[in-house]
Parts: sequence; structure tokens; C-alpha cells
Amino acid sequence: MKKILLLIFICQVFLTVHSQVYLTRTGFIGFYSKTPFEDIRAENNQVYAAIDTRNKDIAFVLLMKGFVFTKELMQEHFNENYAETDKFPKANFIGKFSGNADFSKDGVYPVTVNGNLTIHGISHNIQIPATLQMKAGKLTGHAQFYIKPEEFNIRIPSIVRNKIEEKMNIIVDISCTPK
Amino acid sequence: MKAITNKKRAIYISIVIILLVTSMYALYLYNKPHQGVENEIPVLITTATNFYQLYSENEGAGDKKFSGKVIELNGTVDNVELSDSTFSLHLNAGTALGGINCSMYFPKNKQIEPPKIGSMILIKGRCTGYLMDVNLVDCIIEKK
Repeated sequence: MKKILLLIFICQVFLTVHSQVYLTRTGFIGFYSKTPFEDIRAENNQVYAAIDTRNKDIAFVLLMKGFVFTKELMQEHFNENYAETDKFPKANFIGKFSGNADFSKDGVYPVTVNGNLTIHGISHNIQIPATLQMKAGKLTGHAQFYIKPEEFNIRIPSIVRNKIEEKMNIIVDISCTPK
Repeated sequence: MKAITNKKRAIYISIVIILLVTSMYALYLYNKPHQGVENEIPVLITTATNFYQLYSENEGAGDKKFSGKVIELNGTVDNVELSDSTFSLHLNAGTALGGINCSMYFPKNKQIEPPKIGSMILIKGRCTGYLMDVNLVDCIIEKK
């Protein structure tokens, strides 16, 4: 975890001379589930992200307690029973993106992001399609993918399993600046 | 005999009422929408600089004391970021390394004007932990 924060900090230090690094402290990640019994919506607007367009590095880190649910009890269960956020307070992703992109020009670039996602103390390699858009000096990123809670050792009791989709829909939206 | 029947009936009706009230209360709790911090009493009232120092000196101790708790902070806004539905504030903590990252509580029926950069504010929010900044969610501005 400290390595990611160090990477983001190093990125910040070198920003003045290497304008290929883009940062945000207010990225968005939401996860969603929809079943006939229950809709789940949880959103986090404090995702820290760094994208180095020259080396094609990408890193995210967030606090699990930063997910805000529409229902109070869901948030309590998520923090205490499922994600165990006191024990595993942070989630992160470190990886690289591939694909042809010329960030010196405004445009929308489809890329593939590959790296390690760590949630609940469990790491898995994931590969997902994403888009990066350069517009007026701002780099925005968007991705959507699915994960199974059980793959990250998040145990959901059988009594509520049919209320939660087998795979959670994850949406990532970040808007980074080279400041 | 009739008296016993009436007594039993009263017991049955009481049980049904208790079950009904309990079920309704459970349903209310289950569907209770996310609550902000408006009616909560903060466990700590201090400056943004002091709170950042407390946390950054010992993150583990900070988490134990403050994670999940409501905090009220006085500080200077050094950045405002607007999104489609909400905005975030960054409070200066006297260091370039970090500060207080405040994600606003934005009920749909309220339109809140973001404060200006450089203004002093009093803000209340729920602490979620420490990254480069100390993060607060569900924030409301108590005083501009």
C-alpha cells in the first residue's frame, strides 16, 4: 500500500518536469448489483489515481470506508461483515495500459488495462478494456468490469446470496490533471 | 371458561401486535436511507492542520481513534472540485504533502453553493481514514 502512495507522491514531485503524469484525489468508483429482491449502489468519490502516459503506468488507491451506500444498514453490513474495512481499510490497483494513443492530441483512445487488483487483502490479476480521453490538457478515464466478491474472500451468507448479483458491476470514472 | 378464552385472546392479540411492530421496525431499519452527519455530535472539534498532524504522525492510532467517527474541522479551502452531482473540497493542513479531502453530502433536494478557494470554513464530516490526505465523507459546511 505504501508503495502506491509513494508512487503517487513521486509522480507529484516530478510533475513539474514530467508533464506526462496525471493525478486526481477525487476519482470515482462505484459498484452496483441489481436483483429482483434488492438493488445495491455504493459510490466512492475519493479515489486517488496516477496515470503516467509516457511509461503507461496506472495506479489507484481508495479507502473502503469511503463507499457510501443508499441504505444505512447495507453500508454497516458492508463495513463490518463483508469487506471488514477495519481490518482491510484500503483497496488498490497497480498496472499498465496498452494500446495506441497519442496524448499530445485531444482524442478518445481505447486501451487495455492489465494489473493487480487488491481488495480485502487478496490480489488478482485483471485485464479490462477502458477508454482514456485527452481533452484540453485533462486526462479522463472510464472503465466498466465485473468482479465476484468470493474471489476476494468476501463471504456472503447464503441467506442473502440471492439478493446480491454473483458478479458486481464496477464503474470507474476519473478525471486527472497534470498539476 | 369465557374469562380464560378472553385472556388467551388478549395474549394472542398482544403477540400479534408485538410481532407486527417488531417487523415494521425491522423493515424501517432495513430500508432506512443513508443518513448524513447533520444530527451527529462530533467526537473531535479542531483545526484541519491539527487533525492532519494527529493522523499523519501515526496512521494506525488515527484509524483506531477517528475512522468512522464524525469530526468537525476549521480550515482554509485550497481546492474545490466540481462533478456532475456533487463537489469535493480540499482543506489546507500547512503542508504540501496532504490535507483534508472532504466529499460533500449532497441530498437531492438541496443545492449548496461551493465555498471560494481561500475562504475559511467550519466543516463536519465522517472520517474514513488516511491516504495522502485525511478523508472525510458526508461533509456539510457548518459555517462559511
